[in-house]
Amino acid sequence: MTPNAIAILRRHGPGLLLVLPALAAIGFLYAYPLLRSVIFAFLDTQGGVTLAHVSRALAFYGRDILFSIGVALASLALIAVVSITIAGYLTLGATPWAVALLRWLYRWPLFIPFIVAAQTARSFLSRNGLMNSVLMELGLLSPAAAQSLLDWRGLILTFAWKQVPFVTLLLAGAMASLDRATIEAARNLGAGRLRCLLGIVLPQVRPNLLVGLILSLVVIMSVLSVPMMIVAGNPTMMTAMMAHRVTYYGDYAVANALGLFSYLLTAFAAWLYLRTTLAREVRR
Amino acid sequence: MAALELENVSIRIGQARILNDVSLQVPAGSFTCLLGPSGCGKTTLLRSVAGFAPLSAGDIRIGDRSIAGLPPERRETAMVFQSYALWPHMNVGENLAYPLKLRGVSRGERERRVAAMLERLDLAHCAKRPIGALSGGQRQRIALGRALIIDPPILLLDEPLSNLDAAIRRTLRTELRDLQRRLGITTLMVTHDQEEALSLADRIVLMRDGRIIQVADPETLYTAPADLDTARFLGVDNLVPEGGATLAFRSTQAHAGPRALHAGLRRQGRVIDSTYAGGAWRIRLAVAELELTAMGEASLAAGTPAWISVPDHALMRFDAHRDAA
Ligand SMILES: Nc1ncnc2c1ncn2[C@@H]1O[C@H](COP(=O)(O)OP(=O)(O)O)[C@@H](O)[C@H]1O
Ligand SMILES: [Mg+2]
Repeated sequence: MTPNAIAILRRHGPGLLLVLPALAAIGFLYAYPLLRSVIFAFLDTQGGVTLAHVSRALAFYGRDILFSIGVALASLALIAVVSITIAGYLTLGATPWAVALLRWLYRWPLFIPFIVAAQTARSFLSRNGLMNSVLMELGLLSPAAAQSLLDWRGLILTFAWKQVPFVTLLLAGAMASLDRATIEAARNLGAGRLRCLLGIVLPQVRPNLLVGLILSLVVIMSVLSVPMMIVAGNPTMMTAMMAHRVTYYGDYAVANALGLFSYLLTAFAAWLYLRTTLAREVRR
Repeated sequence: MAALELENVSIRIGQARILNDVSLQVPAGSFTCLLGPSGCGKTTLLRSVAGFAPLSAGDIRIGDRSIAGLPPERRETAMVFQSYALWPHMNVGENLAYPLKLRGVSRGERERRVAAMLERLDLAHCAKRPIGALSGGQRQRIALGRALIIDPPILLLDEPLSNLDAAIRRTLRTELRDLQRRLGITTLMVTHDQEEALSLADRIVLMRDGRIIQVADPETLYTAPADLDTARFLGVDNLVPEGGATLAFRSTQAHAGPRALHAGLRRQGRVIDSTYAGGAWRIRLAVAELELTAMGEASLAAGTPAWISVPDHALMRFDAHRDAA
């Protein structure tokens, strides 16, 4: 080693040693399998490069990919609207007991596992489920018009039900740490509660909302139990199809190719996030 | 007529009584200062007018209209916060334009009024700057401009100058006074700085422990404080018991030297020490068991005998029963 290299090692050695375990864990447990699955999506049995798996994935599951994207976007939209509403009420609400009650209630779904949530949704949303029974009891729904919501609607509702508390938690925390005077100044100068939420509070917590939605997207693109339990038949989420491909056919190549589309989607979301937050940093 | 009127206002938060039966009339076009030590309830009083501190009892009126039941956004009072509370996600121009936007003012009109306000504040070059790039004094001006741009009937200021350094504070004080005179806007300002209140206000409301103690013009307040605690708060630092009463005076108005100069009050004592106070000497004297301070034109050696004398007009007399302390 040159004296120069030794000096660099002296300076950075301890730091390297400290981050090494974390780096190794990320490398072996995350980056390596990810890379491997990406590479195997493009390799044929002889080890040559091929686009066959990708095109087969598109041909077999094109509809499922579009379905997944649609369900994910709709879920995120619903999550965003509901979380903003709840967090906004927690921050700007004028009725102390209602705020306290809501603050206590909204977190519960966080502690319920996805499989239980899916099971609950099944018994709630099916044709003879709790929701339709209650609506019929109340005379709001005729038995002939009752239909099952166990399709894309059930997926969206279940994902939202599970993820709203998480995003609300992030948002309400961020809103609570805002300078309260910026909110009061807006009210003082003529903004009602809703204007204040949309014009003053929300823009200041936008990065937190984006983080919450992107993490929710990753969850939605990876949870297997919800589509397995709620949707019977096609089209369904990519996760269910990947599991199907692996468990029934042992076809890792096409499953990997499907996985590729998940990565692309989440990577695109992450890129959007980085771009907006970096633009903000520069503006400051 | 009073532009703003508080009638028997009380505010309680939990068990704490923050304001006790406060009644106040703020004349139209006046510059009224709420003055008092920290924690006496000045900010709470201001916030109750703006609608951020709900009343436990009493009423608040602007003109002859009660505003006590209105939400903050419908009170038409414009408040400048101690922390300025500029919106960090908007640039300077957007901050000024937002209150107009809330009132449905058209884009062209908004731009015209924002430009005019920036011109008036001498900040025309800052329109596109982010809030983070402004100095404290510039932020203060923008916060003031944002409140004034809606032509409010009442301007509320909460210690607007206290976060600034001395030089900028002096400049802005003059600017604020000029602006208020020119616009003739009814102004209610909170401060704990007596010098600021004396030089800005045409009426001072002196508060203590959630009550109003005295309402007077600056000169009356300075020369005839309502009680001994008020006098102490206003810089009266010498107390001489006499009979059942207390004579009080400011050391800046008393003279110390080898001979007694004034006739109002005369006492002989010994010098404790002399410190230079710019243009004159501040001399501490032991007079019997009292310690008094006065100004002298020359330094006096410790231990030498000397006279302290106070002119009649500088003496304040407080009866013992009125001294709460
Ligand atoms: N939200 C609140 N909860 C409890 N006590 C408060 C609250 N706001 C103010 N106080 C108390 O009320 C008193 C007056 O406060 P404030 O009006 O801010 O005084 P000032 O502005 O004169 O310094 C203080 O003792 C303060 O601790
Ligand atoms: Mg205060």
